Order: sequence, then structure tokens, then C-alpha cells
Amino acid sequence: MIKMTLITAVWCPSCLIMRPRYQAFISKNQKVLFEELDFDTDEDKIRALSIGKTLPVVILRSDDRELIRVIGEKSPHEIERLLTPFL
Amino acid sequence: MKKNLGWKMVAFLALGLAAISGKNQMAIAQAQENVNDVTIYFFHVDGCPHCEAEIEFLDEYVPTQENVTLNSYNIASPDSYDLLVKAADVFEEEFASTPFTVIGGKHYVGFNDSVKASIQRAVTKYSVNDYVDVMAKIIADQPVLPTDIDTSSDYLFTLPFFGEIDIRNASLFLVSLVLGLVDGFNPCAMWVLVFLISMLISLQNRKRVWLLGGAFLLTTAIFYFMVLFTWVQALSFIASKTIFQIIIGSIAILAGVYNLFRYIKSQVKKEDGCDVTDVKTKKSLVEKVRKVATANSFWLALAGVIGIAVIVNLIELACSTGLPVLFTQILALNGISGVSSIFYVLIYLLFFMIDDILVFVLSVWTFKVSPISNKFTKYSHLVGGILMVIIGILMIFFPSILMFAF
Repeated sequence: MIKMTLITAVWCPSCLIMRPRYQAFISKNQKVLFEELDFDTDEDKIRALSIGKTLPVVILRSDDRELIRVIGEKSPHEIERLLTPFL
Repeated sequence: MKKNLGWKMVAFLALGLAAISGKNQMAIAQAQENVNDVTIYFFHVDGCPHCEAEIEFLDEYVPTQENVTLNSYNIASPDSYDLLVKAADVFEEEFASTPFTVIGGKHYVGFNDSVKASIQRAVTKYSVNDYVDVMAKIIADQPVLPTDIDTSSDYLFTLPFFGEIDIRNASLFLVSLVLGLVDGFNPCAMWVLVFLISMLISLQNRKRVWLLGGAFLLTTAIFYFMVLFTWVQALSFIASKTIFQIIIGSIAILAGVYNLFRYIKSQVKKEDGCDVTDVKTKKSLVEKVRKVATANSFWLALAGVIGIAVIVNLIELACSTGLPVLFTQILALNGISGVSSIFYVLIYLLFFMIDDILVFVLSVWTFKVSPISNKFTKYSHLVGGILMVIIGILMIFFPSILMFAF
């Protein structure tokens, strides 16, 4: 099972821009399990992911093995290009 | 919008170039046509450093102008002093101080690069245009009429399509517009407005969104206006001091290099997103905005929004101090202070807030938050960095260019 984790924060405009883009991607790939973590409220889970200094972050995993990590703002086309090969 | 703005900037740059070419045309006219005789009346006194500087300039300049005569008056002589007092009275100067220069219907108190350029412009203008020699009238004890005083701008040029344009006002307008715009696209705390709007929109109360969001923007405008206006007044006393220009210029260069470093870093990382910095401050502001947005009492919410806007602008100011300081320093260098600075401060403010206003209006109109991409922030670092370095170098080595003393 492939799982997509999107990490955002309420104070991050880029996260507001990217959320609907990732949601649109998920709606086209419904086999992917989607979860969203909030940088400020899900601190424990996020600490384990070592996400670095830029938001938003998307991590695609299969059986707890990280497949790819996408950081920052990306166009819908870039999202397709980066994530589709792992599905 | 972007295209339109770009067109306007190109038009203004063309305007500047055309102005310089207009000046050249005047010089050509001077060479080709009969030129008027022009007399420079120069009042000075021993031991005055600005007088020494002007003497040095006039000694070099006057011999190069065949139609120009220099009449020098050392006010240590009682007759010369009396003449200076009469001249100061005619030109409505409170004090008869030196150096004091009169050409035609114009007079200049003090001496710096800007006055030097003004003297040259006045000579060029009177060489090819009719004028009244006010000092000649004073010396001949003839009455000086109010119309004899030349109140026209030194920077007036006739340009194709634009007509008569005051090139210094146009240049200061352009400086206010560009610096305000670049400063505005470096939004350290714009997320607060975006978050506030998203919270208010979630309450589905359009009227409340308009009123509270509008109060946030209005508070921002008033706060920033007061800061810029106060800085201009304060700097007007020290802006022309060389040491101060060197300090401000050095800070501008350092801030510019830091901005360019941030741009290069973002290009290398290829990660356009939100920096995870000052998380504690952000969390605390998030809580405050949440409380304010959901407050039952409208007046309590309004007071809270105003308070948050003040805190946010303090953060914003600390984060982008470079450009506002440069802007106010340029105004002060040009002798723009008091009421005359209000127009330029308002232009800076309008373009500084244009992205906030766009985000607010679009979000309320569509009832969906429309944030601006962080990619704009990256380019604001590039453009802001380049501008700061250029202005910093000009301020240290060629301050006359920033006084538009071409």
C-alpha cells in the first residue's frame, strides 16, 4: 500500500497553494492512502520524519520505505512527473 | 496587471532618457543660436567651507562659459553684506547666510552637488531663454516684481507625448513605486493576513471579513505611513552628511548582498516554499488570530485585529528595514520633507501594499483564500538585492545621482 503524507502549517501560504494540487492528484490516484500532518500540532510524528527547513513536504512511502520526498511549491505537471513513476 | 506595470516602468525609463536627450538638445541650441549674457552673483565669506567648495567650482566652471560673468561679493565688506541682506529679503529667505548665489530670477543657499547641478542648469536655461536679472535690479535700486522671481522647477523638460515633465518628480515617483513594490513582495508576515482571511471566511460572514480584513490593511497603512514619514523628517537633518551616507550606503550593500545570497540559495535548493523559522512567534500569532477571528463581540475582534496588525508590522519592518531606510534617505537627500514628502510616502505605501490588497480583495470576492506564491518572494530577493547594492554604491560614491543632479 502506498501512503502519501503531506506536511503543512496554517501559517504557510505555499501550503495553501499546494494542498488542492495534491488533493487533485490523489483524486486521480485513489489507491494511494493520504494523510495530512500539521507542523504545529503533530510535532511527534513530524520529528520522526526529519523534514528540514521548508514547507510543504510530501513523502511517498510503501511499507514504511520512503520512495520520494517533494519539498516546496510544484506545478500540477511537476507533481505528476515526480510522483507517477512510483505508483 | 504585471504587463501593464512593466509598460509603465519602460515608459518612465524612456522618459528619463528623453529628458537627458532634451538637455543635450538645449546644449546644441546654445551652440547654434545667439546666447544671452548670464551673470552669477556669488556671496561668500572667509572661513566658510561650503563657500570654498563653491569658489573652487566656479573658478573651474565660469571660464568654460563664454557668456557667463562672475560677480563675487565677500560679505566681510559692509556694502556686500547690505546687498546680501537685500537679496535675501527679495527672495524671502529668513537668514542672510553664505554661500548665497543668484542667477537671473533664481537663488541658491548653501553648496553641494545638487546646487552645483542647479547652477549649471540655470546658466543653460537663461543662455537660451529671456529672463529678468533680479540682482541687477536690486543693485540699480529698481523695484523687483513678484513675477521677476523664477519659481519654475529646475527639472522641467518638454518631452514628446508627455508634454512638460518635472524630471526630478518623475524620478522620485519611479523610485517610490519600484522600492515600494519590491519591499511589498518580501512578505515576512503576509501569512498573518492570509490566515486571518481564511479564518474569517470559514465563519461564512462576508461583512465581518470585509470589516476586519479592511481594518488589518488600514492599520498596516497607517502604521507604515507614520514610520516612513517620521524617518523622512528625522533623516532630513543628517541625510547630506557624508559619514551618514557612507553608513547607510554600507548597510544597503550588505543587505543587498544578503538578499542576493538568499536568491542564489533558493535557486540552488530549488525549493520554493515557506521557511521553517521563528516557529514560536508564528504559533503565538496563530493563536492570537484564532481568538480574534472567533471572538463573539465585533468590537473586541476589531481591537484584536488592530493590535495584531501593529505586532505584524513591527516584524515586517525589522525584516525589510533596508528598503524603507533607503527610500526615506533618498527623499531626505533631495530635500523632500514635511508635507511634500507625503505624496511620495503614499506612492511607496500603495505599491508596498498592492499584493496585500490584491490577496484581500480576491479572497473576499471569491470567498476562497488566494495566497501569493513564495516564488515572488524569491524574485523580490533578486530585484531588491540588486537595487540595494546599486543604490548603496551610488550613495557612497555618487550621491549626486540620487539627488537627480544629472
